Amino acid sequence: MFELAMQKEHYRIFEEPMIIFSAIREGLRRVTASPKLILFLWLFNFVMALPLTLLMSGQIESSLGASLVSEKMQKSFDLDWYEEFNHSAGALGKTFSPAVIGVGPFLGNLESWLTGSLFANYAGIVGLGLGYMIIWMFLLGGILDRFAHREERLTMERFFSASGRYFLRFVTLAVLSGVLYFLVCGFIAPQLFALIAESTRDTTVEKTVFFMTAGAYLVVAFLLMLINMIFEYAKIATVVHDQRNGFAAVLNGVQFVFSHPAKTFGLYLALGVFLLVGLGVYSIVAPGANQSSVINITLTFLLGQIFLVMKLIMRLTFFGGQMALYETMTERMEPAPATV
Amino acid sequence: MKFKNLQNYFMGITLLLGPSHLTKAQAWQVLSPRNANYTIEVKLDPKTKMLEGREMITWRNDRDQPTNELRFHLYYNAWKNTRSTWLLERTLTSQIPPRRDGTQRNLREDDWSYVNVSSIKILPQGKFSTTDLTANKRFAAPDDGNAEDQTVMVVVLPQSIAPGESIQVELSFTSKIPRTFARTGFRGNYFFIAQWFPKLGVFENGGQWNCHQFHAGTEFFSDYGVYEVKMTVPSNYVLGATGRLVEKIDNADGTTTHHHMQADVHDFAWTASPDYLVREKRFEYPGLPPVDMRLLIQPEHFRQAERHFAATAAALQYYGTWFGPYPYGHVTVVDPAYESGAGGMEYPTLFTSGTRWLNPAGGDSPEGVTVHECGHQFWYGIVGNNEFEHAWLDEGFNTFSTARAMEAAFGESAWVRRYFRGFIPIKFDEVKLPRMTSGNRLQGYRPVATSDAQSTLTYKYFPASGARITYDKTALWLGTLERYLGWETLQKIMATFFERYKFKHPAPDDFFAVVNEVTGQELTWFFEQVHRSSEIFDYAIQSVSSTPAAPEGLLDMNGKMIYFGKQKSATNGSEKIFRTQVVVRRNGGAMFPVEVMMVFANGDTARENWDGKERWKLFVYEKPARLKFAAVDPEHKLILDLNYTNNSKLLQPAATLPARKWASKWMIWLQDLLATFAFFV
Repeated sequence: MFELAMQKEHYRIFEEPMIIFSAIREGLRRVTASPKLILFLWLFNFVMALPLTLLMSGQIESSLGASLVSEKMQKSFDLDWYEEFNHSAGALGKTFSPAVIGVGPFLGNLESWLTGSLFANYAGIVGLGLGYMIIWMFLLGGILDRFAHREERLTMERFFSASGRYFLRFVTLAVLSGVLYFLVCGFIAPQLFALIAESTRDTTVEKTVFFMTAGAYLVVAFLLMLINMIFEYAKIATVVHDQRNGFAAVLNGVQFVFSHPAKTFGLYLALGVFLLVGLGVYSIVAPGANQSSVINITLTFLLGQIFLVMKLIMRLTFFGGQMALYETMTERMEPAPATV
Repeated sequence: MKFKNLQNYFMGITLLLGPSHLTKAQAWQVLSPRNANYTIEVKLDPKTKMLEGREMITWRNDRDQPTNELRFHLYYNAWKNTRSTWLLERTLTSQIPPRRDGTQRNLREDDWSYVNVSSIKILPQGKFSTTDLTANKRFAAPDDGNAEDQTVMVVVLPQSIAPGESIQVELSFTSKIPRTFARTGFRGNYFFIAQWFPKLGVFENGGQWNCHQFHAGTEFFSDYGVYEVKMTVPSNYVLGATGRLVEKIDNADGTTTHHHMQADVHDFAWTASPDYLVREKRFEYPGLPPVDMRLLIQPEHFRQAERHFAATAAALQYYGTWFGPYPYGHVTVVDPAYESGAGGMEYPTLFTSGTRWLNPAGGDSPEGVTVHECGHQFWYGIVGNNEFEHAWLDEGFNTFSTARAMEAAFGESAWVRRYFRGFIPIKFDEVKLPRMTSGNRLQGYRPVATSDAQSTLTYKYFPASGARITYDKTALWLGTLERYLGWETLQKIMATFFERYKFKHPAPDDFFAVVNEVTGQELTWFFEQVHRSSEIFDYAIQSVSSTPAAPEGLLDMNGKMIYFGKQKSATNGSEKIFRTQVVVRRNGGAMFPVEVMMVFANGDTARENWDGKERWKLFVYEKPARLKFAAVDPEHKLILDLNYTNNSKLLQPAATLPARKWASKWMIWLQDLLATFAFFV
């Protein structure tokens, strides 16, 4: 009896990690089973960024002109030129900085994500970002439909039809989640940091403030991820159950997350850790500023694109993995979808 | 007390104290006029943030006119309320934006400060007898007439003090320590105490006191003297102060009195905290006197102690070698507490550096600030110019010297960006900070280049941009002089100026005279532009062209008029000849002689000197090769040139590839940013 109980306990201990890693594996399988989808989404991201990049390229070219500095900038980075450029540049030009080298862009964006400051960017970029969000929201219907019905052939017609079918439902979800994100980034985070500033008014040790700030960042990150996770399951529920009511979908999401906290949080965190490990690896291999030939410049750019594709795959794996988990757990429990 | 008597008095003290307190040379050698001497006793109450003090000042009128008053700086009154000149001026900057109701953001009752002089009396000496002057004190606002500013106190004397005469006065005062303003104040149990006692202004030839109100953009000005200060603090506090420790007495009430003394200085600052760790090291370098370095460091920065010593030693070595030796034999380096606001400030024989818990080696911190503040021991401490009026004489000289010493000691620093509220630094090794431009802070000067002529008195600079004219512009024109005259000459100029004006109060014209004297040149034209005007320098290659030199049209040849049509090439014998035209332009209002260099495709080079006075100049060549590029000021001598990118022009532009290279890196940032936006839906 005792042995049997031990065995059961043993299996329970390993059950959740197994489910999480199975979900990740399954999610990754669903994502990589659709290389055309990955290519399409990368292309979408690339094309959206291209016009402003061309504008930026034009501004840099115009600033460098026919000067000898252009030769230096081809070989490395000239801080003097940058400061001159930054002084005379408009709002778009001012978004350029030496921090575009190496892992800098990703760290900067991670910081923007945590602080919500990406919405305080140059208006043109925020506008582009909002447009990107809307289109991504539209495409998400097709993406989730693809992951939900992976046995069916991926066609443009089906993809966009699903995108259209879920778009308005996702808009409702986005509005609801937007309110919560705003609460976190616009209210809770500033309050948290103000609280730290207030409570450390007389603190003379940076480490103390550092760890308190790191704690606050963790809280903010946790809240952002929690909202994100709930609304991703809400989207998954919308697609899996063809749920039409946004509020009901959110309830489904909340119910699911809190019914299986170890699995949902575990899966989300595991994927998050993979993402951070990927960032760490990229920070080691990321090329610096010293490419001068067309080939080296292109290779550097391609390496950046490869990392972006990896990030995209990881992002899609969040959806694929969570969908796999959702399907597994709902199959086991066979719950009725929530209704309002 | 006559000067000679006073001198004997202090010699007596130093002999009594013996060589353990002052170096032998210092004990016997009077370095400065020592006409403003302070003996102060002060007690710190860490709970109430109060200082209780009593000071005896012995002042000798060493000027050519008598005076019937004394003028004191009461710096702590600058942060008494928002009506002070300091805070009114500070609202013109973005540093402390006022609220609509006029109060300052995040300030509470306990954060404000004041200094209250409760009594002032003359002590019997010479023709003076004991006289209570407390009723004779009033506030004055000589700069702006602000009746609510209380940073200058005037005390009318019953008798005037004739040239050569001395007076002894005793003041009792209470100072409320502010939450740090202008690098003095407290944070928790950390105290940095500067500008804390009633301090005499400087009486000048002509019979006027130079005792300005405290302004947002200025620092200080005082006479040299001997400071003997007894500071009583809780016994568990570590104390650092100007001068050497003479005596330390543990009191019955759990406090300890630290007795410090320093001669030939013009200020006295101190710091106390229970958290400091102390490390000591001796600086030794051939040809320079040794210096005992005492480092008070925060425990979390202990691993950076050697970096602080290395930077301090670099300053003592390079400044000592270039300008003149550091004479005091000891220096205290203070690593201030986190966010205490006390970092990066100089006081005689003591300065504050400033670092972060995470601070990668190879960036410019904490080395830069340490070299800079230690460097102020030379420019400010030893050469004691008036920082209210000509702060550029020390701040600018020191900024230039810092950049030079930093490069000599540590090489080029790399650019560091701090992420996540500044806690996480990432060093970008490939982005170097060039000494001449970044070190001399061209980026700071550029946006405010025309805000004020440098000759404007410092306290009258626009507060938001004054520092840039003070620090950056001076460093940039010194950098320009270095490349124009050569370092050897500039070093000789600065060393001569240092030697001639050490322990004195030089004015701008004193420096300009030294420049002309050492160089044997009349460089007034240069200072007229960099110092007395706010014009900018900007030379540019406006256009370049290289075309076949063959003429077109009707030409007189052998008495006949012959028509030449457009030709694809021109030859001289078998060589093809090209006509190259280069237009150089002066975009800025200021002028500087510049070199213009033309490099041709066949490797030929042509160099021209242009006085740079006209608005533009055409250079024409007929050569058997096309131009490759032209550059004005190719050696970048004119560091003040605000736009150096336009100083050169290639005939065949090559900016497309570099622009694409950098735009492609930026694109990766943008792509990732867009993906980050997508997280939220």
